Amino acid sequence: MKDLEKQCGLADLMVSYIYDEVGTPERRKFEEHLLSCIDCADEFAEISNARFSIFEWQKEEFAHLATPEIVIPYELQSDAAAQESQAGFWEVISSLLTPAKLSLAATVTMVVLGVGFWSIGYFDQGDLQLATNRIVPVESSSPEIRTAIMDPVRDDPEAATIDPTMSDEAAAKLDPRPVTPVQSRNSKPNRNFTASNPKPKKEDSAPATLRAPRLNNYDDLDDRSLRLADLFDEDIGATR
Amino acid sequence: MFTNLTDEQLVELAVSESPEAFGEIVRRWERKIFGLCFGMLGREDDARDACQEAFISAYRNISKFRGEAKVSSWLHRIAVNQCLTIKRRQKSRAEDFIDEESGEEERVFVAALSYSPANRAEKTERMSLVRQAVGALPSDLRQVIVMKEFEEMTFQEISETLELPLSTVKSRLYTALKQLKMRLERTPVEVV
Repeated sequence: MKDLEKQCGLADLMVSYIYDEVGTPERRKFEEHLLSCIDCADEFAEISNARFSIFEWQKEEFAHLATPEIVIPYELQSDAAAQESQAGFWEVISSLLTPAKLSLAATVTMVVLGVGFWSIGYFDQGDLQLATNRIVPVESSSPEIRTAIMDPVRDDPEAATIDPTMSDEAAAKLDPRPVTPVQSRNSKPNRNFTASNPKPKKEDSAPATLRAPRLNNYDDLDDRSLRLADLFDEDIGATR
Repeated sequence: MFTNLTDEQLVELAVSESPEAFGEIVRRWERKIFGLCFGMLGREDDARDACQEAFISAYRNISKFRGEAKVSSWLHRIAVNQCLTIKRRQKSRAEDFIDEESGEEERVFVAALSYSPANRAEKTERMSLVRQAVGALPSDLRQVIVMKEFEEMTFQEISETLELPLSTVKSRLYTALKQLKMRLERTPVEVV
């Protein structure tokens, strides 16, 4: 039998015609060709027979088979879903508690704590300084003290030298000393010496160019430094 | 008595001496003619009617057979004409059923196709052969056969599912049917 594909090239059209998937113009064209071409008609008969054999086999062995009744156990499905949800919760927890995540959390915690402790220590030092300085509100101090505090001591050439024979009261009035952190008689000495607040040298007996006014009679003649703590009683704000 | 004669000899006998010789022609070719009619009409009932009318027409015009072509080809052409006639008839009259009473005596030719025990045995044997032949097809060809015949998918749907061009799908189906035909012809069914 001649090869239909090579001879007439209607193999695709033949198959489409057999399965009724061809348009009307193509259908008429093929039917007319079948009437005129004996080989194509014979080939078409063979192909149609083969197709019918399969059709018959499908009908005889499968078409009468009943569709299996598929029963879905929905109650088991819901239990499985509930178990999956619980398992899912624990799975989420376990996924969070991985070694990598735990180490990261520990590192972050340590950093936060370190920063916190450092900040606490920093502010504690500041509070200690404040306590030792005993910064007094300006409003509650005496006029002389307010003047000494509010008006910083300036470099007054006229007041630079002090006559040693001058009385303390006169010297204090003429040559106010700069207000420096003064150690209270009742408190521990301030050991926080800095560049701006160097440790006074004992041999440095040269009088300072600037002196704070002496606001009260102080028995300790050796100590010429002004002690704010000496200026005030325990009750801050009490006037003399 | 007529089994050893060729188709042309049977036609000659049917024309001259023994009309019963035409029965042997019917027995030899009824299935293939029925398959051709099924391929053209797509329905078993319509194919059966077309096959019946084709053999009746061939018997009425057997004297016009000149022997230029093979008897099978001559029968094929008659069957194609009958199928086209039925199609036109169905198209013009939407629900016009063929009177079953009119063709009852002609059913002798095609009744044996389905109802005799011998044919039932032949059919069972043929089903077994078809099952083996389909199973022996290459997987790519068998796949297209199954999708077309069992799942009743269109060529376009098969093309999209298998991600193949439409022409490739049709070509594979044509090749599968040809191979199936060759395998079935290689092992003819004999009724004991």
